[in-house]
Amino acid sequence: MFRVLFNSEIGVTPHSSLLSDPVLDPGDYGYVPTTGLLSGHQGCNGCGMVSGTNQVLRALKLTGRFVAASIGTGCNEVITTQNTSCWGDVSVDHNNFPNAASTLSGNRAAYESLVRNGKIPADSVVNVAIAGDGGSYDIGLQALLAWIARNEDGVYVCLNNEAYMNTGIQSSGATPFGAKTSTTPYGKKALGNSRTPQHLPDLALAAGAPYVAVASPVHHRDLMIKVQKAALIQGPCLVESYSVCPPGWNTESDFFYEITELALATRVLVLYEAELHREEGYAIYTLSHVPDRWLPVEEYLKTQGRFHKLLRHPELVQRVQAMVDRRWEFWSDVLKHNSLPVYREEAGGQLRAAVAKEVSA
Amino acid sequence: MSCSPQNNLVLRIGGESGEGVITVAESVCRIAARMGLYLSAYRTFPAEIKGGACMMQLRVSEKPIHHPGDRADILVALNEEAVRNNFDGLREGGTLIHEAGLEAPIPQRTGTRYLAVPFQALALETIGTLASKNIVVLGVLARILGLPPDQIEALLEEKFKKRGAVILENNRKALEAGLRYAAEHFQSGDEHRLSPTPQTGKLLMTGNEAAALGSLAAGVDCFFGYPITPSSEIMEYLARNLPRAGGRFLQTEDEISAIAGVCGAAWTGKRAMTATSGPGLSLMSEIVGLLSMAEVPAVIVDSQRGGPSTGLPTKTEQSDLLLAVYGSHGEAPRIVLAPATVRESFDLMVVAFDLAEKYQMPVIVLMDQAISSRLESVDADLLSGITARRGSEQKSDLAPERYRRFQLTESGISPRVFPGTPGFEYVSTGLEHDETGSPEYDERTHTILSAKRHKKLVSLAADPAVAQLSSRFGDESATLGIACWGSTAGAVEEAVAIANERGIPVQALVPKLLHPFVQSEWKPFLQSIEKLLVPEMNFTGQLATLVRSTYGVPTIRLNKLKGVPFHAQEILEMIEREAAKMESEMPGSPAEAPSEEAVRITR
Repeated sequence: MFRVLFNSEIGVTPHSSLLSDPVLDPGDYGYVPTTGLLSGHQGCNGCGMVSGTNQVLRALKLTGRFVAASIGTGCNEVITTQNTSCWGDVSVDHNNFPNAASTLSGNRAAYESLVRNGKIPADSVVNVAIAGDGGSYDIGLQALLAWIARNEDGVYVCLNNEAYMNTGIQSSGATPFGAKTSTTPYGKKALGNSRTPQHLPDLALAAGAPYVAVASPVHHRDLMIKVQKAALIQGPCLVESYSVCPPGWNTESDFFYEITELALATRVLVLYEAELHREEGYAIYTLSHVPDRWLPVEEYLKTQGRFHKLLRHPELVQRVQAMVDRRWEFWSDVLKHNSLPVYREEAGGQLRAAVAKEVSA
Repeated sequence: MSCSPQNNLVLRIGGESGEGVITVAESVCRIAARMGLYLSAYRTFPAEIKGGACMMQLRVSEKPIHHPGDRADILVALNEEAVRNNFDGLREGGTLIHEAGLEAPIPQRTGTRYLAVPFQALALETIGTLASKNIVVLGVLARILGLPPDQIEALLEEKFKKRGAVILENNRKALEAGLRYAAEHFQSGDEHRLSPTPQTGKLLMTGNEAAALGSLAAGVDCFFGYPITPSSEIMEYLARNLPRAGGRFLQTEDEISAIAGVCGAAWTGKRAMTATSGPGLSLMSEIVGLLSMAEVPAVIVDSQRGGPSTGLPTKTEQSDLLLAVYGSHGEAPRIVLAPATVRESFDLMVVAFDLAEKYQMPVIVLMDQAISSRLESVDADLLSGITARRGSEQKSDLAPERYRRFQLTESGISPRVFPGTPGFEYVSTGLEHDETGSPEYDERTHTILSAKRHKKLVSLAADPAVAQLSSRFGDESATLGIACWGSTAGAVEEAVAIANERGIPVQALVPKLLHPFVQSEWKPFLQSIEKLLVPEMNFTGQLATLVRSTYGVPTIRLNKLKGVPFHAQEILEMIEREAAKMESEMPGSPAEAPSEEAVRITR
């Protein structure tokens, strides 16, 4: 498919191999002179999408361009369109469930035609599509991959809360293994979601997206840098934002920060970016965040009611751990390349043993 | 309708979503059902995902009812917004039970009985948290309605035993506090008292649950679906229960895959279905055409919501009828059924599967949000006497080498042999094909095979299995008639009964088979009336359009597009208006002039 190279930089970086200049770094606590999502949204307390959308819009405005958003049906659309004033000076085109990316194409085509006719200056608009995981992993996947294949310019933001939350928590292609949803119930024989989730950034990269990234609104500086890169890099770029969902995940609503940090510490969530040089045939991976200490996945699963019953089956927890470990093998290469220790001080001596057993078996 | 005492009650409870409003209302429903009473209830959903105003109205009666009532006898309002939103829904002389600590002034109306109860304070006093506030409400209601204490006790135990002894004990205390407060402060009147009946207990279910259960009773083997409000409950019910019955449940990535999965499973001879709402049916339309062309049986449930596009996802509407009847390119015959009650949502699923297999074409079952989420009591004998008529495999008498899958027959129905039977292999295709199934585009084939596929509809309309589906009620000698479908029927039934009581002759027809029309039910009805009223929850009058184009009779429409079901009062007003016009009209003048309102809406 393509060769994988590893960036020597680890951590948040405003530089990109596809851009001549670094993007604006809003800093850890720095002042960001733009507005994002305005007041009046109807999101639940502790919703990861609201702060995600807010930061995405702020970052896009940092590029100095006018923001035109095409939003797919989903939680984010429901909570931000009841009071349309939420969107401020962003133009919003809400289309149906399957076609956030196709609508972005239409918006972009119109913009390009206006530029060609000299009606508006070039580089004056950034087109963004914002959709949920249902609208990206399931019903919108065809439109998304076709948009990437057409190699059009734009940003696609997937706010991933890992199920269809606004219709009553049905599972999607992004629902984690073993999670309870209303269509993957628990019973004597049914043990929650039996599928392993897909990973959208992998699909997008394979389809030829020049830039894909995974970010979290808890690490806002990282997210805003990634969104700016996606906006400025020529071509279809994808940013996935990890969105904590208190009602859908059955968690306390003030647990947003802790859950994200636990997801990172257990490596369930890996913040990274990847740049694809399509013609040259290689991709550069960069890890954006390496936690101080590693924890067993159980610590993450324990925080959420959707895994409540999974935790009663140690062998299933072990499977989740094994999946996380195997995926991390790839990232340990990234780390190795950057001459950082592959195995850090961690809570899980037994963790490594489990992996060893898996391998020997 | 609303005034008679004892076992005839409309109760409405309003509050903040998450306060337990629905729990209280459902508890009252459950107890009433166990007392052998009939009931019908509906709830409104907030547009927000969490929080927001929420309301549930329930109606209890000794006779079967299919309408949750117009105006409430008792309104329980837990906050100011609930008072504001629902006070108009309280009848003259009704009782308002409201939270005592409200700051905003309570609207005053003479004749209304006001009962202020400090629900919040009582809950805090008794157990120290607001978690059981709703059970205090249940206690107060239990006293006023005279609910049997053993029933409530049993219900609490069912609900809370699993959650530990402490929680159960707290809820018992909360209930006690409510009962005590009501006993100390309110004179006990008999007005709203419910008393047990000799009838046996009833089952309580929503239309969605009934449809899902009906599909299980019909022996569904495979379900493919994609979540969409308001039909998701069907999918969720089957996700839990279909695997237990040995079937296969699959959630697909979109509606196109769902219906294509149904096509794949049904083609092999399994009973397969999907459930969706309007936007999903739009996506499925192309494959509905394929199912029709390739003569594959399939059952599609469409729980209609406000449209077009995303529309009003949590509100009701009857605007998918023409899509269901005609949707798809080309001319693709299919069957359209519409249940009018929760019970019928169950029964028609069995009919749908039988018809789909017998006539080898897609069947669309049109529900709407009002039926999908309506809670009704259903007789416990629901499951007895169900026999699925598997008309599926009609073995050809011919030798394999002479088997023709699409053989021309008298009825239009060709012999269906399941794939994999040695010697009977054939190609199933969406291309126009000849009798053997091989593609053929010549002038004769398309004409003949199209006629064959449509002939099945003619055979169906004459089938004795569908002759008894419709319901007709009211004064059969009346010259004023009403035709309606789906959830509107409940309100029409009430309005017709009241009108007949008041001496206004009127009759009504509720067809359950909407496509094709059954001549034997429509013709006598239309011949017996002079004026036809068609109330529908849509803008253009879709059933009226079908009736006009099929029978050439003028119709008078009443269209409601508010996202909420009809009130019996609205239908009654229409009947009275039209009946008065009929009286005043000169004989010989055109009786079918559309009403002013209808004209205003159309132009």
